[in-house]
Amino acid sequence: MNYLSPEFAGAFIVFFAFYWYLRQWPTLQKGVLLLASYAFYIALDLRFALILLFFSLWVLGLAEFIRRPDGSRRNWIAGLAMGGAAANLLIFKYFNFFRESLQAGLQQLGLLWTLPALDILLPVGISFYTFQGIAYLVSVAKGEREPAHPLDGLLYLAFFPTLLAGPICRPQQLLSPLESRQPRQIESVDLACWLIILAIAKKVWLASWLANAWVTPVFANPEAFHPLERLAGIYAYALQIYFDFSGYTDIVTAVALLLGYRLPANFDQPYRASSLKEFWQRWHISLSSWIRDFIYIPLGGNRGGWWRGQFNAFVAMLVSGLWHGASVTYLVWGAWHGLGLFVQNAWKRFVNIPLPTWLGGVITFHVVCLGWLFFRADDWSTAKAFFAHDGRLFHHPHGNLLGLLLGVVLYLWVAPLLPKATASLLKILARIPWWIKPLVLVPAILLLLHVAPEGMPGFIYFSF
Amino acid sequence: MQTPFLAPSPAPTSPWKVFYILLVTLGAVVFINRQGLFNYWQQAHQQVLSFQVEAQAIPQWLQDGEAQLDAVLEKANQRTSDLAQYLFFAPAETIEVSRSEVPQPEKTAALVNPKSNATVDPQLLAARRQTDGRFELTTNDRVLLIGDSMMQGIAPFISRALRHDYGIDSLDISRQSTGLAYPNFFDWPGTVSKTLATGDYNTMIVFLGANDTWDMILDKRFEPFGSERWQNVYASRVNEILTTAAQHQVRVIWLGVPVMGRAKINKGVPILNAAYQAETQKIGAFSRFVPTAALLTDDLEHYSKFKTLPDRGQVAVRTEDGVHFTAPGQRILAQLVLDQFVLPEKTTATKATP
Repeated sequence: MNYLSPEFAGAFIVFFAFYWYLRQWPTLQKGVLLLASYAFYIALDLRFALILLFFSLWVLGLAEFIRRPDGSRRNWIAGLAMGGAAANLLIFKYFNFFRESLQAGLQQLGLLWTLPALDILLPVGISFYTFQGIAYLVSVAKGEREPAHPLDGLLYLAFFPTLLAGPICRPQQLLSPLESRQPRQIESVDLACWLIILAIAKKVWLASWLANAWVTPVFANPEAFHPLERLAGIYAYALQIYFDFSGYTDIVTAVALLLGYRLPANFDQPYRASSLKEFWQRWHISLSSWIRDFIYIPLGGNRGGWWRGQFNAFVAMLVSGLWHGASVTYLVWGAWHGLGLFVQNAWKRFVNIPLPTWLGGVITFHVVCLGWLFFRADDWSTAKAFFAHDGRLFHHPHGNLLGLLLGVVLYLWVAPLLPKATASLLKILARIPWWIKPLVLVPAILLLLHVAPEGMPGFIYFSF
Repeated sequence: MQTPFLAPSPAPTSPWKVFYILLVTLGAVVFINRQGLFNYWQQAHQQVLSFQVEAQAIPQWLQDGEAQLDAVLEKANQRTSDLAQYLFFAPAETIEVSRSEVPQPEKTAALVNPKSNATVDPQLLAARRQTDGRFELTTNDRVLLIGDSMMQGIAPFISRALRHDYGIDSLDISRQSTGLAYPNFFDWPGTVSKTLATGDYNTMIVFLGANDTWDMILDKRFEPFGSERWQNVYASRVNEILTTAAQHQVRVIWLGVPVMGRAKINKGVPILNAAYQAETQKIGAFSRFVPTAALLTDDLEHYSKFKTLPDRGQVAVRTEDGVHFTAPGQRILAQLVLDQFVLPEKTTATKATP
């Protein structure tokens, strides 16, 4: 079920009334929220829900035994719990990838040994809740928190707004609010409404238009386009994936707000970054900070000298690439970002001529775009086709190239103004009496649906 | 710990006020946009919403008001649309190329086998078709690809091979979730007719059916899938596409639907394929039905996610949903399509010496 589908909207409104009817009884309210989360997942696939349940019982159950009553730590239980959680992800996500690679390798060695092909189904959201579970285990092992009550723990791993594609919440960001005994309340309905409008604008309108008008045709057959149009196709994809994923984050943030919870920020205008490092502080923040805290720092961070630090950062980017999927193109994407970070750090260390911010921004944007090319391309030959040279150079690009470039420039120009504009807009919205608010929301939504392409678009990040 | 999303919040709002806002907003959006919702629902769930019929009992004054508003919007739309269309959408002819300098090859020369000269059917000759059924394809030809998400999956492989290896242009206008069962949602016969009238295509490849194994809605009533009337209506839509193509002298490769991993869809596959096969045979020389049912399986009969390839062992060819194809599966299907043509020599191989 898509968070922007009519089905979800209808089911959510019914649930919303029931949920708030129970507001005097927080525990009961959480119980209903847990049931709804599992029902939501079962609507996708019963097996997904069962896998999540077993995963949750494993993580929450073993967490109980990590600490002895005297406070000391049983390292082997912590290791077992985390290893099991990671193995679960590896099997579901990577088994067939490694099987096929291994098979090819064996063939080369002349061994005719057929590995069994297992029909493994990838449960949607597994990459996200696995990382949440590991963050929880680490938190318990470090003594930062007590093991959670089963109801809170189950809900932390299954909370339906974040279940399918994050944000990846840390225990203090979601579990602690869940444990709070205060009755929930809706802190800012205006922010929630605004985020819903923004999500529809980003996802149903802009991302779909970019996909239909540019990304799909150009990536399907790059050689049929003028080199400038191919470049525009890559720009379009950079914007599409941003609108798609940040639009998704907006809608789930709104849904969580309407249930009385605040989710952590996941995006902060990533294309305004003037360096790759800054890009990763602004793009998919909950993933990059997870990788920083649970891969990069445990590897040693920058404590083992400069070169060792570079190596660690490179490994962290490779993991980030592989996290997105079992495919060589994601690995190349991760390596590309790792390499980019290395070049950036080396420049700082050995050349150390600071670049003007705007130039840093332009370079960063293009490095990121080239990364997106690997990320989006179906295979290596599609990526290569973008650089193929043929007669299209002398064929005029179409007028819509101008339209797209105008759009990109407009976006980059408007983006810095958005936080301020949002704040004043929220102030205006707050002044409108509650019973008149629909009169503002309805025309806005209708307008967006009117300009948007038809059909119900799916979110890119659901497949990770 | 990260800062919470956006600015500090004003005073909390009562959930019942919020409920009112959500309910009224959703209700109004759904009511005004009801036709869109009906279409979406029909296509996504193969069901007519029970209140669709009642929706026709809306008071006249409201219907008139809506019609007037629609007219105003339509006018505003037309005023802005030319520029917007130019700036923000690709022209229908996305990949127009000037080909005037390319020398015209002898079109029929390759066709006529001197030994069997007498037996060549003139119809086959007009369709530039070999006696083994394959169509001849040269760099002067342009190929149109239509269909549903199955075609969306294989079209890039076909287009790229045609363009890159043989220098032949193609245009893919396939759309996910479409088919021939719900013309209200998307009208393929009409789209084909428009596209063929404006572009100089002479070859078309069709691959659809994944969304067609459901009941139709005829005269506001369900017509159960596979009934005689259903089959007649479906066949007539297939026929409409083929007839339009033949009128434009466009050769058609119509791919059958493969076996499916979902029992409900798979049961309907033979009925769809029978319609495609029967209708293509009626048109004769200009169209060809190509079955795909057994192509992606090992036992040539039953659905399987994996297929054993000679050099790679078992490879997943179908995706989790039991309908779509993985990249290796798409390649196999694309190759099947290319095999239906007599293609010019590969351009990449002939580049070397002038």
